[in-house]
Amino acid sequence: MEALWHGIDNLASWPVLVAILIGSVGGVAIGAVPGIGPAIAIAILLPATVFLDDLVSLVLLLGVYGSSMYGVAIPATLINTPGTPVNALTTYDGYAMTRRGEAARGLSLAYAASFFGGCFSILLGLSALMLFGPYLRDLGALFGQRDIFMAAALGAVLLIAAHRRNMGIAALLFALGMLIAMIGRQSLKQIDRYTFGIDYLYAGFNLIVVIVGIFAISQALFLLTGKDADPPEARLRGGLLRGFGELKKHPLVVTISAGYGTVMGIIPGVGEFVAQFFSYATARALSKAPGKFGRGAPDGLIASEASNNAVPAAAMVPLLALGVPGEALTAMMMVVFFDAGIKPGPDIFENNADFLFSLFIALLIINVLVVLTLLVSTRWIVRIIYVPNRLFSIRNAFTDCMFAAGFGFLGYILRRLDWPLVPIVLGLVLGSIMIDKLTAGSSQIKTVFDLVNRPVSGTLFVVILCVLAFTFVTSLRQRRFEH
Amino acid sequence: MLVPAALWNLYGSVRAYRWRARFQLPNGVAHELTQWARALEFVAWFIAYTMLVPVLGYLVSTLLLGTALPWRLGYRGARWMGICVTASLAIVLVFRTGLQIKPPVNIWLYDQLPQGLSTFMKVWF
Repeated sequence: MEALWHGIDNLASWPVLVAILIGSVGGVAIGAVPGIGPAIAIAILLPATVFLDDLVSLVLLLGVYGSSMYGVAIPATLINTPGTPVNALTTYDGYAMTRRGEAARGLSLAYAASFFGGCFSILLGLSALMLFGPYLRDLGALFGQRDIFMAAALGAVLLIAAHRRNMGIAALLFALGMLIAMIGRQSLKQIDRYTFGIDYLYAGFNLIVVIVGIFAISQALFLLTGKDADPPEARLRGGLLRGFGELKKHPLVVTISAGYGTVMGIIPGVGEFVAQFFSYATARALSKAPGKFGRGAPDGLIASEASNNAVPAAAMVPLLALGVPGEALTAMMMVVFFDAGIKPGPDIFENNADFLFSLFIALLIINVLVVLTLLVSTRWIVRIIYVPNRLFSIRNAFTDCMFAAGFGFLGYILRRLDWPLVPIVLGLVLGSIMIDKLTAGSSQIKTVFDLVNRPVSGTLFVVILCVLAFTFVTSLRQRRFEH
Repeated sequence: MLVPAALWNLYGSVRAYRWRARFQLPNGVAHELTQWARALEFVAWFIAYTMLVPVLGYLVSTLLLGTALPWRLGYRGARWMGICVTASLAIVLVFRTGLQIKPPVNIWLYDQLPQGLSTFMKVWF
């Protein structure tokens, strides 16, 4: 308890409170601009944190990280463009609601689910750190290369299974995403794949180039070539508080989704991408009207938002407990930890317990502050989602813009064909994880059986088989029912 | 693998063709290709903009795109142009001046300006 009070005391200073406020409000605005996202924002802010106090730097970055997860739901819901792949599934039901003229309902549900997911994860993460922190090292040791590969493979299977009416097309596009992920020099074995002697391709495609092209530019092309008589419905009618009331009608979905987000956030390297598909597929399986998923089902939107917002706090757990950053954003935060002379790991509980409490309480304050900001200012924030993206910022490279335009045109064609866009991006993300982990673990894989002979990978493989069997049986039933 | 995939694609195409014919939707290849060509025009606009940035700088290029593209789409007149110029300026101020997003290192137009002004433009616009 003493450490808890010390933690609260650390936060009670003007610079820290101002950093929380700037991080929270700024993160929402950054998240709302498609293609900018928390990764770029934190990368821009990182050099500036050198001049700030340690706790001020961390709460500023945490503010941007945590609040941008709320912000990215705005373009996903209103203009069918997710700010990051993490909330790609929000577009399915959120945008469908917008098209029905229920944009305010979609946004309020997204805020409520995000708030629940965020708080759930923070409180659980805090409890887990207090109770089991020192033992998490053992859990981390259970996850080897093959286990993470299998977890990513499970994510792929769930993604494809979630596209119930378009599973073949989703699988095809996922494979295309994986193919794009293979392009470039394989760092571990120094093999050039599909580079054709072109210098640009040696580094592979930047994920942001693909995301901005496939989602944002293709959407811009779609709007530019469309008729004025059919603009996207983005008018906000009605209050933004009612989502909190509606959330009470879906207690199971929101709790399970927040749980998935928390558990997946803790697993390094897989977390946020897989969590939303686990949650979405589960919500669909639990739903009495699975046919409405992708057409504005509230439980679909809740599943996606609750799970992705549960990830930031959960992702701090392996970083703090094991010193293992789960993804790019926590890796960036690790830089600040090292600058502050704090070494994340099991010893952190003995040496910097008050610092830990400060971080988690700051996250809790950020969640409350962001929801209040959004309830008051959403009608102004929605204006910035129409701001064009700035691709020069990624690698300051003209070629990035060219490829983004190319991916934009590909995305436009897919939109014309009414094919889903998400599998390409997730194929790229999960594909890279699968390829990296498979390559890194290849020395231990002599036969296919070696992939599944570990406790975790074996269990995940059984889950994959169960998902496939379940999908096959339900598809067959659905087909019989339709005929 | 390619043969079954191609056959599956052919089957899907035939079904889509019948479905569109049933609802009397435009079904010709020419119609779809025209839509794609229309999108390519805007891809060209985007590429032209990214080519202009190293020559004219972020400020002038954004102002040009922000006014010329709406003009091309039919949003003409003093009121629309005023809105476009204001919006373009706001974008530059937020992203370049505020967030300091990096444009190309060498900008031809800024290099032609006097030393002090050139440095100012390179830092802020």
